[in-house]
Amino acid sequence: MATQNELFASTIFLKAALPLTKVILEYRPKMAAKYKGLNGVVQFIAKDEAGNIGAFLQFSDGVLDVKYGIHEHPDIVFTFKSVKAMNDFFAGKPAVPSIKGLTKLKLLIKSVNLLLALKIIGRKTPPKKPEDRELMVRLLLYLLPLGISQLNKAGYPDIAKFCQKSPDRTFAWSVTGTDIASYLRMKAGNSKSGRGRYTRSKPFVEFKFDSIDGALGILLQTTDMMEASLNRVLVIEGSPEYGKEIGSFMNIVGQLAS
Amino acid sequence: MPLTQQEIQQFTAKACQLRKDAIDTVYWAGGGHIGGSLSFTEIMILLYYKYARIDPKNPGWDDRDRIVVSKGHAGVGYAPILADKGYFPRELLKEFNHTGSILGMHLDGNKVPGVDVSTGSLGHGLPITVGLGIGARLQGKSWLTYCVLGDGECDEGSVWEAAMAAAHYKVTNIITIVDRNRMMIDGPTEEVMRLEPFADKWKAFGWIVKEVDGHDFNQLADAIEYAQKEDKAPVVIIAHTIKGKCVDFMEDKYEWHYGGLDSEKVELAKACIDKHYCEL
Amino acid sequence: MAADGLTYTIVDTANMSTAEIYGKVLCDLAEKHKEIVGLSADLAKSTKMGQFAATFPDRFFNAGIAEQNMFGMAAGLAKAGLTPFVSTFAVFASLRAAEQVRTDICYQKLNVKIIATHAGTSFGQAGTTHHCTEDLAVMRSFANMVVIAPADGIETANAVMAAYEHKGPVYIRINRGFDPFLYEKTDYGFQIGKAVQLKDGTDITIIACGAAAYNAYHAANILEKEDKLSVRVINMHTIKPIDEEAILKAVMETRRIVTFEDHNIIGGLGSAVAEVIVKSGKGCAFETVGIPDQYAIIGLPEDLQNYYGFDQNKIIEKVRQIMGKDFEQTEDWEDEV
Repeated sequence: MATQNELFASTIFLKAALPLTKVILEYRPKMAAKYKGLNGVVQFIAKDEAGNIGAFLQFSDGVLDVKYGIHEHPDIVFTFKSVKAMNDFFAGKPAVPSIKGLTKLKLLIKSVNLLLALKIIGRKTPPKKPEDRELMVRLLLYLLPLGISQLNKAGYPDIAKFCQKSPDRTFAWSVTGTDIASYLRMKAGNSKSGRGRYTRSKPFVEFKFDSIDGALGILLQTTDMMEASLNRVLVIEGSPEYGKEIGSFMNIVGQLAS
Repeated sequence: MPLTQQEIQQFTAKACQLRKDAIDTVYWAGGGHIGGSLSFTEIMILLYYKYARIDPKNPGWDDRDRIVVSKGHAGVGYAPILADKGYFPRELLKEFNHTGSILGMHLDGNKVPGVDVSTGSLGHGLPITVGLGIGARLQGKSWLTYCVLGDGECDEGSVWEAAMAAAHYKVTNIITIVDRNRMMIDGPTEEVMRLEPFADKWKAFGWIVKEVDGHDFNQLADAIEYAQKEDKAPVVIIAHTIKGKCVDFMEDKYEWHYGGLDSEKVELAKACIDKHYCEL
Repeated sequence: MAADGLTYTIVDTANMSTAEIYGKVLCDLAEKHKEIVGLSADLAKSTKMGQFAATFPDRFFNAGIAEQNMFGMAAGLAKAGLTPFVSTFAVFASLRAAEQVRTDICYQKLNVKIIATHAGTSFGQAGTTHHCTEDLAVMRSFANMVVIAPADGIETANAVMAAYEHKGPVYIRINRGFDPFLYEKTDYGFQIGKAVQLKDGTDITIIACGAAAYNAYHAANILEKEDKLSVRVINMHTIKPIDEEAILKAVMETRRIVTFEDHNIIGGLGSAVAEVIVKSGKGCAFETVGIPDQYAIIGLPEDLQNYYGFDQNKIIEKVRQIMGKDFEQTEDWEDEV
């Protein structure tokens, strides 16, 4: 039986991390070109007594959609013997799934490539190429509010409690000088994450990174937060107490995802 | 006699001309307050052509005498006088009431040179006159303010508030003239809202009253010169006039407080005026 | 008071009520500028025009209980080249003499400064005949008129000085005169038409004027401490011309606006703000608080402020209530993925 924590981790992987594959294709047009015309469903399932959980990649003529749940007729199925096993797989730890549909080679290779590309968010050191660094920051900044929101919806204690109490407020992340931005809106238990700048009101708290590298330093925890704020690498605009709380939620997402 | 024979002749001719101008203006305007524009002609002539120190080439001259035509609805009678004095080209009279014209039923001081106060709503002129008088005195100026009121207008409480204040503050650098033509819109003044005893009311408020025939230049001139010199109390000249004077189908008829004239009536009216002045 | 320029600090004004400050400022201005004259309608003492009257007896004119004539006289004085300051109760200035204000003063663009005292329900005990919960609506609708509702005595001093500098008619509405002080000094940059942001915030914006501004400022501080709410407070001292930029900024940055005023909810500050919001085409949670289109009851002004919802506690309650409201049309809580 999966533990509460394992389930929360799976939420992060299936509902927050996996969907980021769409972003990868969006920002890697050369790679996306190779997926043109691709059709098929690739299912990930984790076996659990309380009920199997899973998510699938659905290619329709090269366009990728990521959905939570079990597809009726998947072309390829990655089955894990437990939730923990699936979590380990996505975290880059050794865990081997059983694979059905090996004959659909093209689909298999393409989806594995995508998963490999997704591993970028698990890196412990910054990538060498600037466009890779940018992609990594983008993926991470999208992952954070999405992860927090999904944890709220899944009932993660601290996060859900915070959200329940919250009046209508928006928290935002951004990298100055780029179009990389994301936000998290909360109100009385509801939450919604989004990509891009939230234009409907001034965010209650905004995490502003001064650059891609600056963001990487902080997100990879190689830069000291204090030092970062002194050097204005990260500027937290808005209520400092709330900045700290959201910061702690960001850590939770990070921990669950590793 | 305060006026010379020559002046009387000039003013009489001017009265004939200005009355005809008013008739024309009513025609061009498509209608106007003609009755009251014909009753105050002599009063206005003495102010604009004899007594008020004004300069049409310099309407904003700081030390000019001010003229407050409190009965501002007499625009069709007022405008021709300003035109004749040269405040603006006569041609503009033809556009009276037309869209975009500077001239309309109640002359707008923001637009028409020579208009010191934009009046039209009755009862405003005298309070403003009192303010002008006090203002001039406070600054040590010697210019005077002339105020021409209608008699129906004196129903307004604000007129009497101003009268009270003028007496209280001994504002004697103003000269007030009431065009007492005894007619208003709904009928004779004494039937709509009785004013008599009119002179007594002014006296009770502390004013000195001079009653004259409002169409007699000499009587009017006498009274004005008296008022200019009197400094014990403010002076009001009750000028007894006839509404629609000189046009027989209009004379003394409250119905001609406001009216329109077709070209036939215009000719008729002008003929009346000419006849009146020929017989003089 | 500073020796040369006219700056007032809370020390100078500590013992003076709002109206007394007005009287003092007027005297100081009149000392420098000889064309200033004063008028009152038998209310020189109540409106503190009495101080001016005592100092410059030959430049003060009591019109007696004759407001229409008083405003007419003021128009005449202005036309003679003077700068009249006219003072009476707001209800008489804006209603009894409304036509004179409009036709003699606004239409003819005269330099008359109207100081209307006992505005709103500030003369609570006197009852409706002496309240004025309509003057902002009326004065706003007169072309060429500038309408100011200062928040305290110090702002009144600024307003009077600004009114003198402004060319054209000005209407300043103040209370009975016992307002607490919002500002400490006069040099915070008062400018006709430019609202003062008393406090910045992102959750919600309170726009208030007059006594409500003071209440709002303190309410916001409490909301910050206790509810951890980030409340922006804007003192919209000039109702006309209103500071559209400040309102639009509040719409864009906080998406919730609530106005408080000692005035009918019809036609006053709330309506003026609403006009700007609606014109902008942007959605915004919006509420106005004021006298709800009735004639106010009798009571002490502080009690009336509470009764009609613009004292400090009621402001706190209202903000809490609004924060529970949604400003988004859609209740779409799907994460963007």
